[in-house]
Amino acid sequence: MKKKINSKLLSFLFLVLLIALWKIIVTVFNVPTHILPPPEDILFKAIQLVQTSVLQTNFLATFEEIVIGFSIGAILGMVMGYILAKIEILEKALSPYILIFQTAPKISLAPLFVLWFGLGITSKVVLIALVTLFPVMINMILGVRSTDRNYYYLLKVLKANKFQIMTKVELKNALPYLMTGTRLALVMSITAAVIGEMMGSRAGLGFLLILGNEMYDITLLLTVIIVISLLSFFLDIGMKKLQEKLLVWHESTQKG
Amino acid sequence: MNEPVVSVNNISKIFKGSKKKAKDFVALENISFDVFKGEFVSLLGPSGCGKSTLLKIISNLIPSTGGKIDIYNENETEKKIPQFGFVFQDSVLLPWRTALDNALFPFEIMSNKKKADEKHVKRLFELAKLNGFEDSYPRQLSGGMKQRVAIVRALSYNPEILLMDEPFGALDAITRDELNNLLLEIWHSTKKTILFVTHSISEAVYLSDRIIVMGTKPGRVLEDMHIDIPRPRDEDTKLSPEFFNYVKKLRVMLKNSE
Repeated sequence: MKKKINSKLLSFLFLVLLIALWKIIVTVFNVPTHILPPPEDILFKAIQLVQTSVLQTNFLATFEEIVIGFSIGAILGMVMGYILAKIEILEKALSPYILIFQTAPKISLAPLFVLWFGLGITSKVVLIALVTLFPVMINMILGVRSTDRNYYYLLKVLKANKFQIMTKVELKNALPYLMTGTRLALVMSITAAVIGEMMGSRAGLGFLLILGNEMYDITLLLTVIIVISLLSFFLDIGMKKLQEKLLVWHESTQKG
Repeated sequence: MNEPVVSVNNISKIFKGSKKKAKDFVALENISFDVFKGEFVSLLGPSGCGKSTLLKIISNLIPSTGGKIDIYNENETEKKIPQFGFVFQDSVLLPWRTALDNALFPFEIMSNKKKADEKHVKRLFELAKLNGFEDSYPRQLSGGMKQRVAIVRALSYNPEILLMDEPFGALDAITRDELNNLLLEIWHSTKKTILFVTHSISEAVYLSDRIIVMGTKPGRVLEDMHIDIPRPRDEDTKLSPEFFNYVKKLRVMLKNSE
């Protein structure tokens, strides 16, 4: 327990040190504000953005895209993954296309989606759903396929029906894989949201980045970058907590 | 000891060669024997004699290529209740379920969990000396304990026949002896018919009323041997001359068949 507190304290000290170093460099070398503003400017900017509720509005816009796009992509990925895992011939037939699509940077579709679906939320949701779909689907296939043959024997002895086989064993067995896939997908979906917004939008954190870029507002840029980083950080922590809760039985969450 | 519960008639199993040139592999050739009610029968043979395959055919997990299996079961009318308990070499416990939930899993599949069933399973837990571990996950249990949970699960729905596929093969010698004695205790108190696959001669002699000795290439029955060592048997049995004689006889028989 004592060790844990120490490591947390150390992390915090590290942050303080980093900010102090930043301040010192800016002051000593007299770095102009339009190249690197001092740390306190970021704080003032953040306060100002919150007071004018610019930050909240744009944050919520991005958050909404992620929630909707990620949910659609994850659900589609799970359903498609299960179907492909069970119908081997379908998976074999589609695998070259899946591979091409999986390895192609889906982010490159962002400009296309903006043209197709406009500047609104739809183009981002589609992009996010697409980047989410693949890691979830691939991991679902792996997870279901990894079901031990003896489980099927056991289920046959017990005269289980197909639905029971799916819900009571295959999906449970796939859960650790699925958690890995969704965690990966969540981080990717944040990237997709921001890039989608940068390609063309009227709101969102990516929109603020473009704004800051066009107005040479380094302070705005840095503030938004920090907000985006914190967003991915906390979303990942949330996912990790969920994973630990769902997988208490799994080796990966074994403590001590 | 009069009515057969399991009747194996001329069972054969041929694995077709996967390539054109590959020869067909005869895993089992004309296997016939009966298992009677309440009997403890072992299938003994070296690895590759098809004893596990035979057990899977008897339990209808895999199809045979010839012959017929007859099961005479009292609850045959009840379609939803499994005909056998099956214990695998690996415990095949579901890692996301606690020990008790694993043992209750069959009822969930049959979707008729009653209070009485849970009581019955808790009694089996005591019989298997597992009390106190109901809420442990499989990864927290030792190999021997996992196998005990697997036995409890197989007996939970009270099947008449218990099929065991080298259930103690992966355990260390001490745990294995311990579980052999436990199995005999459970057998005495539940009066099940047990068909037990093993490649250990002493284990087969110690446990069985009868041993079906199997040879390889092709898998066949060498002898159907009665073990007339009085019960109850305990660790002293293993030191008796009659025990030693059976072991010796079987060892010679298996050696000559090679």
